[in-house]
Amino acid sequence: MPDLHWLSLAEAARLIESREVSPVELTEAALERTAAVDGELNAFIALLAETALTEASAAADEIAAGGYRGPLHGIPVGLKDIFDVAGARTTAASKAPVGHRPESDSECAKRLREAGAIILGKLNLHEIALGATGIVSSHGPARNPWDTTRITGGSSSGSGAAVASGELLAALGTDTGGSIRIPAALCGIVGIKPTFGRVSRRGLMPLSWSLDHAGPLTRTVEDAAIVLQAIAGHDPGDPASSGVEVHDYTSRIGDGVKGMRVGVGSRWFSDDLPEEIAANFREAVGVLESLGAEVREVDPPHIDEVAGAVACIMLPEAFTYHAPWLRDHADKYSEEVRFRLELGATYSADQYINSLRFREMVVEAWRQVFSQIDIVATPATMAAAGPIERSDLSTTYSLIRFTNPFNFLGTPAISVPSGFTSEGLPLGLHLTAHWFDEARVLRAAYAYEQATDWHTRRPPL
Amino acid sequence: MPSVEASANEQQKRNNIHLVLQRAGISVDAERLASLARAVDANRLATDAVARIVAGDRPPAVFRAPEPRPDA
Repeated sequence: MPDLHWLSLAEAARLIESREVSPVELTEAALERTAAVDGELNAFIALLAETALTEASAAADEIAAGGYRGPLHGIPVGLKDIFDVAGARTTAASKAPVGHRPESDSECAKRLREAGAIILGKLNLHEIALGATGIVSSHGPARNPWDTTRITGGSSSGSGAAVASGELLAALGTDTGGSIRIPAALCGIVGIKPTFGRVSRRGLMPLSWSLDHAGPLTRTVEDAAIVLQAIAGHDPGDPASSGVEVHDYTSRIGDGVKGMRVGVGSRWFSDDLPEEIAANFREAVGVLESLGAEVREVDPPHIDEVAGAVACIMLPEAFTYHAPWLRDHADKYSEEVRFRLELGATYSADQYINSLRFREMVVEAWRQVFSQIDIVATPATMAAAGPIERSDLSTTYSLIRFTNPFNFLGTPAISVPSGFTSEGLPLGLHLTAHWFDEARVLRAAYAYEQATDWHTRRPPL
Repeated sequence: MPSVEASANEQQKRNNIHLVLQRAGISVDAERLASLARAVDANRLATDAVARIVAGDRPPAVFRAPEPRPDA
């Protein structure tokens, strides 16, 4: 049997169901792995070892009594430290007094527990989830398992590092401009941002109510489908939650991409792209084509203006939420985050409202795109993980360019490992589809993943 | 460090930002005002482009994810 901490979630689930491995063994293996590598990675803000072992023991008893709940039963997971977990402090990785100790679970934590998952800890992030590098945190930066001198990407930095390094089999992150997909790409794992409204945000510290999404980071596409299945679905506790029926994400995941219409961008998608990233992307699209996908060119209107509109929605909303603490404790925020929050206060009502109106126009334009295309493919990022010492706010654009338009649109989008740079750093292929078509995104990503072996590589830790 | 020297127009712009922040209960020093003013200019360029686009189309200001595709 391979090291337990390197099992995929689906493999671990099969072993737990057949009682070849117990949830206690799996949780202990995760804790041992974390003890061995987290000093270097700094992925965890809080390790809930004692409660996790108690929960694992209870799960083992339940399974032994014939009460197996499904593929998350007995699986250790972690949550970015803006998800409330009852009894554990939510810090948002900020020195500003924005945190609290919740008495109840966020909806995502509640659903994970109902599925039998073991919550092992709270994970590092870019302060208040406002940043794409992952280096600004009251807990210090999370470090990339492929090269610990480099960024993980953010803002779900600890989620990316913990899953990529084998500390966890799965983690939850949030994504307002790419914060699940960027660390997934830079750490060489899978991250899916579902459709806006597909997964409840109740019990999450908001960054931007109009753009925040929650979703899983895992080592395989099948694992992402399993976790998404557990957390997706309507929640009256989140006003943006959708009542649209949740598909079965795993039963047809292996149906392939034959005949699937894959759109690749023309001008906007390729301008300024470094050759190494462009070549990796061309190769990935070639794999999809070799599997039977029909590749077509797309050039959606107004894409150049989206980034400005995203900032104009995100920053005023972030400022609005943080204003009470910013007034009295501005110096407690990091300089970078404080600057961006103050900038959020300077937008005028017409700028904000026009950005919301623009969103309607862009959504309508993309509805037309998705009447002729099934999947749109781009690189996940314009760059691999840069050195921590040389990364700052100016690094952001190269990380968010291909991810943040899909927060604006609210479409489901995934990053799946697509290879490595000449320096051995992971890259991601980004796939998006029509609203609520997570199943198709997962199917395309799974087909690509199974035709390649990038997801089987392990970082040198 | 950004320059805090400013022309009359630039000073007026910074005063406006200062007032907006003051109304929100936030005080900033001259150096921060200079940095914010530069970012505000860049943001205004971006949102002016958005304003020109929506002026021609007059969409509403609501967002809801569209219904699933029938073949999903």
